[in-house]
Amino acid sequence: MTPFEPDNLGLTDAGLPLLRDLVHERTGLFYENGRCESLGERLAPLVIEHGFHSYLDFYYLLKFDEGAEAEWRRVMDALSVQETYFWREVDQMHAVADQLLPDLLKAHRGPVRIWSAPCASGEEPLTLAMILNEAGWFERADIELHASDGSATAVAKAREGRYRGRAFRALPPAMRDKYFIPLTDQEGWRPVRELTEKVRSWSVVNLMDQVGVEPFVHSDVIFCRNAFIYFSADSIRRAVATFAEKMPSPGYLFVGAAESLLSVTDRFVLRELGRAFVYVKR
Amino acid sequence: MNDSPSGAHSDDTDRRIGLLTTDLDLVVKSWDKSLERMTGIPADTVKGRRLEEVVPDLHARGLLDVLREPLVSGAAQVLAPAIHKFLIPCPPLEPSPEFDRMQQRVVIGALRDDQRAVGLVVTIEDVTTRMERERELGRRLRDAEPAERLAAIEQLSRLSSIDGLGPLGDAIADDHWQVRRAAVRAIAGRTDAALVDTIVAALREGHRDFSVLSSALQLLTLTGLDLTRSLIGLLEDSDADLRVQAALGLGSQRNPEATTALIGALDDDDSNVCFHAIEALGKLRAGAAVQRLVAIAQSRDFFLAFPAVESLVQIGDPSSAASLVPLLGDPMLSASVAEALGRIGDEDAIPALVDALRSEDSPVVALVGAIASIHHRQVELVGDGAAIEDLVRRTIDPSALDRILNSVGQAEGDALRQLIVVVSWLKGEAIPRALATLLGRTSVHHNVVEALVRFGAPAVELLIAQLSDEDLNTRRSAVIALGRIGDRRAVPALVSLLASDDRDLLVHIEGALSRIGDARAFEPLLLRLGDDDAAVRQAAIGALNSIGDPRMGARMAQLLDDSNPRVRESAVRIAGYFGYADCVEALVRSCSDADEGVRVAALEHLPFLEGEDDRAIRLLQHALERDSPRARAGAARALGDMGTKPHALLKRALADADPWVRYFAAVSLGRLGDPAAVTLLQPLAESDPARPVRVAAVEAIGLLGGDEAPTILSELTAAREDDLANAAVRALGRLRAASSGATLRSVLRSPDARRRATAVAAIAAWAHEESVDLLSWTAASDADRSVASAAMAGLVTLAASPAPIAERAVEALTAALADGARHEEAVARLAKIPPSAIPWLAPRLDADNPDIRRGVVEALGRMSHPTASAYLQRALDDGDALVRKRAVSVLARLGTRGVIQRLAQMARADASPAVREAATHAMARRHFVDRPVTERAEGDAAQ
Repeated sequence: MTPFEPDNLGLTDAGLPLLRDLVHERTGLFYENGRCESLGERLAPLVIEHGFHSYLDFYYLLKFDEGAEAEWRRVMDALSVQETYFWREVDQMHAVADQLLPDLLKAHRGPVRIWSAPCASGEEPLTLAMILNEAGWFERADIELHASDGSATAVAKAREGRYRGRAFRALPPAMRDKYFIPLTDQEGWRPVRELTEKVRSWSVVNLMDQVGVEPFVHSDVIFCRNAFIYFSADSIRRAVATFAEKMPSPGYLFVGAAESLLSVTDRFVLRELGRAFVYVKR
Repeated sequence: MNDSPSGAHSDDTDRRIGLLTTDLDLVVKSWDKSLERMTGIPADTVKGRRLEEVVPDLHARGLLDVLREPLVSGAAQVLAPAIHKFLIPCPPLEPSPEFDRMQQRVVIGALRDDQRAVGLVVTIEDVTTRMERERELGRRLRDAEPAERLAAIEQLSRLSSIDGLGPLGDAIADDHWQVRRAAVRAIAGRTDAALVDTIVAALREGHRDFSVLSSALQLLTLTGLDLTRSLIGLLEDSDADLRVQAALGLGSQRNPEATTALIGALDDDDSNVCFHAIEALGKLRAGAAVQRLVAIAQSRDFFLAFPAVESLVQIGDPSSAASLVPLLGDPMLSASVAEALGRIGDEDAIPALVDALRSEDSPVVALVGAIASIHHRQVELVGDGAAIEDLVRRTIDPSALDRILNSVGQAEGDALRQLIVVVSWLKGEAIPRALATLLGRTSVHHNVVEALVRFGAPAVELLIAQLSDEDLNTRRSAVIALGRIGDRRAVPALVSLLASDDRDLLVHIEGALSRIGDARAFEPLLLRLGDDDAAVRQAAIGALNSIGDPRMGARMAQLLDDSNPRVRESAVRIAGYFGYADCVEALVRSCSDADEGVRVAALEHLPFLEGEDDRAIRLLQHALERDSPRARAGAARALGDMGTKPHALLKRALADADPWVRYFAAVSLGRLGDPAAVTLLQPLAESDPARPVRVAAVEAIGLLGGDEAPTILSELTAAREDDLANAAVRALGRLRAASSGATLRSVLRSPDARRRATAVAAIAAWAHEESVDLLSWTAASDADRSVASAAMAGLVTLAASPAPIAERAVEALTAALADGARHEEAVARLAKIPPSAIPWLAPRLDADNPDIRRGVVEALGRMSHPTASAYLQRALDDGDALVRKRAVSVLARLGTRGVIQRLAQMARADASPAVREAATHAMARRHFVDRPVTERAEGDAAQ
């Protein structure tokens, strides 16, 4: 047996590169050579639970076992990075409320569809709902706001709607007081019903899964922020190609402040909207 | 026949090339006269229209994506007429017996405005006549008479290449040796000067739009045509804009022949020309230009000094670093010079960089970054950066330290990482406080933890305080750092945190307690043995094993009967690991526990109970026959740890209904090492319905070997499933059977790069004489860089083999030094060969090629091995100045004793000014200067 070291929990590294490539192919998430250890750390509990001594055994399970699909959901939970908070990078959301929606509604028939993916534990779509509500959009127009994440645990948390202090670190106190109620056990806050009902659906969707994204990818506006920083270049191209193929034209794609589609695609053109940038489908 | 300015002769007449440009939406913006003539389509009927309208079947022919590709990836596209025939359908200009449409060779590239793509530039060449000729000559190449075939080759050699080798490719394999030889010579001698001249002339006459000219030149460069002579001619043009474009183009060509002309262009009256000439010299890595570029940098010319510094970096001559150091004091240039020193400087630049930090408005981030970069390079080259760390620590000014710590709060990314690295070398109370604020930054938390661990005990109280921070990442990093520091003062706080059930941290806390190994954690850790999370339990087990408390045996004896099955399971793992005598019977009973997890753990630990082999086998057999699939799998795995040979039991397990039982049975058979088991494994490898079982069987066969193994594995290398095929290839390599060569060669020709990479690793493991040839060929020619690089790595592995193979492997690596594209990698690889292989490398100091000799010098220098250093001194007498200069630099870096007098002599009298300068510089280095002259001379005399 592999000697137990505090850092390896008694697991051998054999198969970790193979596992890394398999995770990449399936989820788009990429752990380059220096971060492979981080992948091992996140998956170790799953490996140990199966009674395996190496990542190679777990690789075979994920790739070939009949029960692999259920295991993949647990893998997505283990790997998803849930660091987010309310009112994060709100300039883009204000741009939707102040500039995009008026333009869209001039030419639009039917509802305006907005998709937040990945939504993590819900902070992003709820923030967008707050901003659109403050601008009175839900009363004036038919807006469908959908949210999804690759992690079932994250989506469950979003549905549960329980948030603690750090989630509110950027949210103006007045907004928190208006849209959230403290929980009686003093273990956080929950959003008011008026807010949560603005999000039409919460779903588990893997951005690499063509079937899974189909109900949502035809949206007029897509928020896909801070996902690509964890993806390889190839995975980003695949995801963006799907958006380009399926979104209506014009369609608006928002990515994170540290992300760029330069050298990924020519199907979107970058446009400045006040203090925000958006990629517009040609 | 045309005589082009470049001097090449060609049979090509009437070269017809047209050019069009589009915007990003593929709307035609320009359509030149040549294209009008070729296609019969007037420009005014197409300008302003989308290309898909002009050529409606572009999409159907799959050409739309090809046209867009340069806009997406920047890579130029070439449409070969053999495949695509044409872009714009039109009849040939003269009736053709072979073609009813004009055959066109098309090159498509991005049209750029500054660096931004603004559309496409497309050149379309009418190659109809040439293709007719080629076909005709190709038919003559199939003539029965060698003389006819030779004549055809001679005529083909005078035709410029349309598309690859054409008919000459087949002629390489001709039966007649003279025909083959003529074909090879014809291919080697091909030139496309006529095309070059035609396009350059066309651009010069017709395109004063310089973005078009620039894009077209880039396009031509990307197709591999050599424009050097034509562009050198343009450098003399009266039009400054054309001279600018010529300099730009020469930089893209990267042909060293342009160096002299470009150095001349540094005196151009037009500063834009000078600017681009400077940049071009950098791209050419023109060592001959170093002195001029240093002078330009030192001139502090606002427009030219920056590119001069950047080009010096690209040229990478460390000797220019010393000339740049004085510029650290120039406010305009200091940041740029600091970055440059970071990239090409060595430890001699460190004092100046540290000194520059004293200034209030110094570019702190750039200076610290340079120090960190030089340190990193030193560690990479020679394995140790302690001298630099010590130097910085001793000489840094308190005000500089304050400035560095202030910058920490504002920096991001790599800059922040470098600041943290340098800060970690220093002392001062403020340092751990500054670092602690970064514990929560996920992008740098590894660096911060390292830095705080280096700080050690003085940081402990501060880290303990961070354990109650609101931010999870901060708490986690603090836990990890405390574990690695290993100070027992942290134990109460860690134990308290363990009890607080901070779920995200439990595994890390247990890891930290494991490292510290303090008995105060014993009881709290026991409470975690029943946790629902398997990783938490596992980490608690590990921590308890690490603490090794004398109370453990007695406690485990109790816990083996605990009501919680998770606790019992954990107790089994601990008691099984230590083999407590008092726990043996309880462990045996655990094999029939009501809980599956307990049974599995107990079965897996049976092989480690001393003196219990017979009982263990019976219990494992019982489990294999009657227990759940998971327990049966555990039993199969445990059998692999039995010293006795339980083949009969494992044979039965190979037929189990559950794939994981079969899987672990195969793994166990492989570990037991009896080749007789191959016959049991073969049917599984060939046809088990579960792929992991097949792979495990293949790997086991590879471990066991035997007469049949190579044949079985060879067949499986052709399996469709990648995992299976790759496992078979790897296993073949490990077997080292002489007969594996044919199969491994075949896999090396796979169209799949990953399969080839697996073959490369297997061939290296095979360690056969033929391995060297196969790996050298792959390193030189594989289209995939990662495969080629893996082949170089394989050669390094072979350098550790017995003599003939090691010697040939080293020879193959040194041959790669002659290839400019692979020189740097070859040096890096050679520096990693084992000391036993150094004697095979040293004779290459006498190679004919100076690039090889220079590379050998550098590789020997990086080894930091006394034998290597001894050989280096020979290179001081090399006939080539660049080799001598490199030897001087390397020996100076190593601080080799016994060379000071030789260096002094070279500083005075070497024939090359550059070598004299390098030797002078070397003499001034610290480790030579620090020793008094008399001591140096006496020491050297003693050598």
